[in-house]
Amino acid sequence: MQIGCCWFDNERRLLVDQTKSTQWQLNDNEFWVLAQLVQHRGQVVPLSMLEAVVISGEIAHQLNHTELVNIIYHISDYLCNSHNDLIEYIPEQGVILYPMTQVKHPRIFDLPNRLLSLGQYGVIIGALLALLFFLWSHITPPLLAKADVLRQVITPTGKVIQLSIFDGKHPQDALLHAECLSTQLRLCHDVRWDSISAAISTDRHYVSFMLSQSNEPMWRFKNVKVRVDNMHLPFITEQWLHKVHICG
Amino acid sequence: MVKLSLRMRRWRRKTRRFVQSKRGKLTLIFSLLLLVFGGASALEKWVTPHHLWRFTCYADGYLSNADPLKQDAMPSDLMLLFEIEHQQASLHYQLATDAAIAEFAVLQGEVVNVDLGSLTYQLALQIKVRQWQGDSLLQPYLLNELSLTKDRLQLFDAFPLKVQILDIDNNHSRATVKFIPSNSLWSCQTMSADPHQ
Repeated sequence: MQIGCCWFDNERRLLVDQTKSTQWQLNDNEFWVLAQLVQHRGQVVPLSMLEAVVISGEIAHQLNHTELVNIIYHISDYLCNSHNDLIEYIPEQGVILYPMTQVKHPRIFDLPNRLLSLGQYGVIIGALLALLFFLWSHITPPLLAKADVLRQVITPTGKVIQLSIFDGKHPQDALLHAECLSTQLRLCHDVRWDSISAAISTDRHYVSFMLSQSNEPMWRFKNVKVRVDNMHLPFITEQWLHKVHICG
Repeated sequence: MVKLSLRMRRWRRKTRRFVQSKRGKLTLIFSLLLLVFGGASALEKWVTPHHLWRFTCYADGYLSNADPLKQDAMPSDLMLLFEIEHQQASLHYQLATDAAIAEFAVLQGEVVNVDLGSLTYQLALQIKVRQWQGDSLLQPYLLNELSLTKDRLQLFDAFPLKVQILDIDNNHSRATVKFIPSNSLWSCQTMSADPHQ
């Protein structure tokens, strides 16, 4: 009788592994258990039946539970890896020797043998969400500096100047100074810079100007820091632009 | 040897059965999650880039209280040297009028936290050295830039500060630095910039 990759020789009480060319001489107990499983192949053989070892038509002795389980595991282990699930021990019920290797395609939500309960799936999904949240909280996308006002100003000579005003607190002040600066720049005949950025301080007392010229072979830039008493009033004039060397 | 082999088989069998059981699968999934959590934390903690920044920033300062429309004085030369070397940070402010250094302040401290996404450094600073003139222009400017609510800056005053490096040009020669929350901006030369250019 073929059991997986092994041949069970009923007469010589041998279990022969054909892949490894090894053989196992079964003792009375092991032979009894395997013979019963082979005889009732495909059926669950009750534990009580396997525990009562019969030799020559008479009950010779009784196996205890541990001995029986060990015998089952030994036989199961002797079968090659691809067939060691041919024998299944069902606790408190019995043992079954399947006719062929089981191909299990369990679907996780198949009742009543689904692999995980809904609660367990809930826990896993919760843990995954926590992981995503944890990762998300640690990955900060680069903060781009967003200007409150962006303008392009064309001077009388046709030069295009990029104007950016950063405020973040009072956008109306940013608009006021952007308007004022762009009006004055349109009157300038010679503007040295192609990009002008201005940041109004949170306490409304200072303005940081950043002037840059990138069209030349050598990058030029300059900072101008200005104290302003009243940020709600325009302070940029053509004269002032000349003074700080934005114009001329 | 036979006993050892049997034990090994038994152990393998038990492991296989555990892995195939519900409890084993759950344990595997949680182990995997723990591994990812731990890995992400370790990456964030240990795989941080080399923090070495040196910015040199100059500005024309029109810092007097006078209305900028009316002022006719020459601007002051305001300089900021800002350095971050690993966990140490320092800011050196200097205000010069007519080519003579009138006022200065040196702030030193530690990098408390780094947000790599936004390249923001949270610093804990202390004023180590400072010199003001009678009608100081630098002191009110620093109170604004460092977002301090005090009337004056004293030696060894400690305070937190956030500085964000907004952008760096392709040649790594120029960077824009922003002080948070004062919204003060500086355009600076970086350490790699050629001073002769």
